[in-house]
Amino acid sequence: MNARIVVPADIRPGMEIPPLLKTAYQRALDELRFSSESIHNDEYTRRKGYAGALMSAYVLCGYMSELMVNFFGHHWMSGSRISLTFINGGVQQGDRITCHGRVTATTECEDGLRVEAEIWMEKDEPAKRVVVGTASAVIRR
Amino acid sequence: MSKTIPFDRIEVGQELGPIETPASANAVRRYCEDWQDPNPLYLQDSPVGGPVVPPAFMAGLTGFQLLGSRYDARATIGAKTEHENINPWRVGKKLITRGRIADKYRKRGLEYVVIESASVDEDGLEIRRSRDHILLGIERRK
Repeated sequence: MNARIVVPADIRPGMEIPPLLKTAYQRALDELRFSSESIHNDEYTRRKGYAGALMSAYVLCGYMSELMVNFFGHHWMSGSRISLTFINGGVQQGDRITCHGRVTATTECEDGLRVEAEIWMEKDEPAKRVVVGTASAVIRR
Repeated sequence: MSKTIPFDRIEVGQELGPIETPASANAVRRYCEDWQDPNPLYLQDSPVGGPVVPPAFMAGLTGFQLLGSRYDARATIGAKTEHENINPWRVGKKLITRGRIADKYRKRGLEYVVIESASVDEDGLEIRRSRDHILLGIERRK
């Protein structure tokens, strides 16, 4: 968790958002048994060409939201947007993942500074992007 | 093709929900432990007055839960998601989410539905709008 509140004067296009490293974990995958046609069933997903049972997209969305809250603080809670596409076979339990972002634009607006960013998630082995998207928020004065 | 959700019988425009979701301080604390995200915004206080619910806490509520309220959604998988956070969701407030099937489509032999939803708290304050593209299953249609 990054408790630092971002300072608008420091934000410029091209700036890297501090990355977030996590070991992917979804409690339900440990505690529940999933049916033979569930994307959370290890055997089924391996038969279909995946590396194993897929973590829920909402968990991945949660990690990307954590990246955003760490950067924008409470400004993320209102007037913000996020758009994510899940690609490349998803994430499996225990994968080491890193959430990244880069500021693409800043615009002065009535309420403060609107910041736009490209964001993505990589998993370490094999190294590839598994989530790509965009986000924006207003840092209010 | 999906064996659990009959694509041809999915009705675009069909309304889904409402789903009510409480967010007690205990539930939020468990979430923070599971996610190893002990942000004081969620557990102590915030500049908007009192602790707020983590954005990810409601991420799983929207498209999947709404679709699951009408269909057997166990084989579904998220393909794309868009959220707009409108107001903070305060810990202790119940969230009420309503949605509709906005679209359905086939792409490269796979079947998708699009769920649009909106969430308000128990006082009627708008909290979030979402649009989820959900893959109905990883079996390709022949």
